[in-house]
Amino acid sequence: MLLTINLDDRRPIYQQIADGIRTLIASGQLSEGQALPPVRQLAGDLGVNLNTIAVAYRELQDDGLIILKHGSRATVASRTAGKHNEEELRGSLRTALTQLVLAGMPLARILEMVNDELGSMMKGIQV
Amino acid sequence: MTVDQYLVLLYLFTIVLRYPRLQERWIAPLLRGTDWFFNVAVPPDFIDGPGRGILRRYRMRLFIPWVLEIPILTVLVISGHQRYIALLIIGITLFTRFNYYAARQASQNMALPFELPATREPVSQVALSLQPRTQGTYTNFWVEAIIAIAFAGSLAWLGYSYVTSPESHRMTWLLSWSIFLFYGQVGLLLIKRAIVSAPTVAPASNAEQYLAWRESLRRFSTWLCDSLRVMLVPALLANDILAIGAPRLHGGTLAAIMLGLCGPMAVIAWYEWRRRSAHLEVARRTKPAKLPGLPGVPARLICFQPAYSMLLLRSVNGYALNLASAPAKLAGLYIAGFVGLCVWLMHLVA
Repeated sequence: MLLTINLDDRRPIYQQIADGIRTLIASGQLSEGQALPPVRQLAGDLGVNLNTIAVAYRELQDDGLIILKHGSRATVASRTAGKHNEEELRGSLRTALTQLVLAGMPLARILEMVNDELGSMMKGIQV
Repeated sequence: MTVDQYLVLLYLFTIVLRYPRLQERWIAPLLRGTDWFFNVAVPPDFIDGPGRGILRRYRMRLFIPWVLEIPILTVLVISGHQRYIALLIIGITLFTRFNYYAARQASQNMALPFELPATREPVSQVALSLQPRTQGTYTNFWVEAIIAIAFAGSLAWLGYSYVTSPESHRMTWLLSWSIFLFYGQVGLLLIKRAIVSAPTVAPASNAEQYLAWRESLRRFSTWLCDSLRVMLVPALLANDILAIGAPRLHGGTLAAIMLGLCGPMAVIAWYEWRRRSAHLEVARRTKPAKLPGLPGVPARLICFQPAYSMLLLRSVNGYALNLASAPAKLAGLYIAGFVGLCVWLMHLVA
């Protein structure tokens, strides 16, 4: 499975890595117990500092999505992050939807986009 | 047949083994047809115009090692120092590879001004695999076991023979040669480690095929490393036979040793040719892409970038070897150790 990084993206690399792995876990492409590459491997592949990857992994650990143990590989913990409450998640959704509305998108198109994204995310996993 | 004659024959055999690699390097610039010169997208008429000279210069450079080695070999044979032919083989093998990379880099740089405008800009979206890559992924337990047992047993036997044999000079020579082979094993393991950890990033638009090509290259290169390590085993065992058989060794025994050495080498060479062909097919199908270079990394073969910890750094035109990295420092220590070992062994057998 592949992780895509956009060098023109305004988000920092560590954020893109964390978001990318989050999406792969959510879509079931990364399943529980699956090992992630060592920090050194990802840093070498991308040509970034070891810390950049370590920060991304730590963020995922804080979300409860991966398990980091000293001396062993990072593994996927669970497909569902337990820390967020519904109101917090609703806030994130509201921000994303606000951006789409402000971009002038019609409601039907927004709903279509949300469906598409959900569809591709849920493809291959049982909800 | 004497040991010296056998070494000359071994040298001639390695020339045969080198032929497929020379052939591969000969066709490498136009592997993907005339639309590409190595990894540079060029107009179709490039090779009939300015590309012709660049290609000719590149191909001429491939023969530089031969220009060096033929006089050295002649001097060694005439002066009766055939025993150093093994060193010549190792030295020329390393130099040939370095020379190829340098020739490739130089000719790619010469082709860059003719690059198609559409491909000049590096891609902005890159993809990387989340599949963990470790030494274990590219290691065969049985190969490692055979090599470890052969080396441990052989060195122990030679050590014992060295202590008990009255012919100390000949035994010193044999033991030195085995230590030398062991050091070679360590070097090949270091190279294999570097191959496994080499950076692998792909253009997002063609990620799967590109990564498949890189994986094919990695598999082939690590296999080649292991094959060379396996090839050292018969060479080591030949030393044991020489230690047991002397001074009653005659032509028949030496011929059998040579057959035992060249036989596995021929089998491995044949299999290598098959694997190389399969890998080249994958390479031929994969379109190269210009990946973004890391900030501050020059488009040269070698660089010194303490800001990065990696051995290989992506530049705008391929990869550069980072001399400031820890693996490069280790390689430097290894080379220094190699020189020291050579001097020590020469002193020992003198």
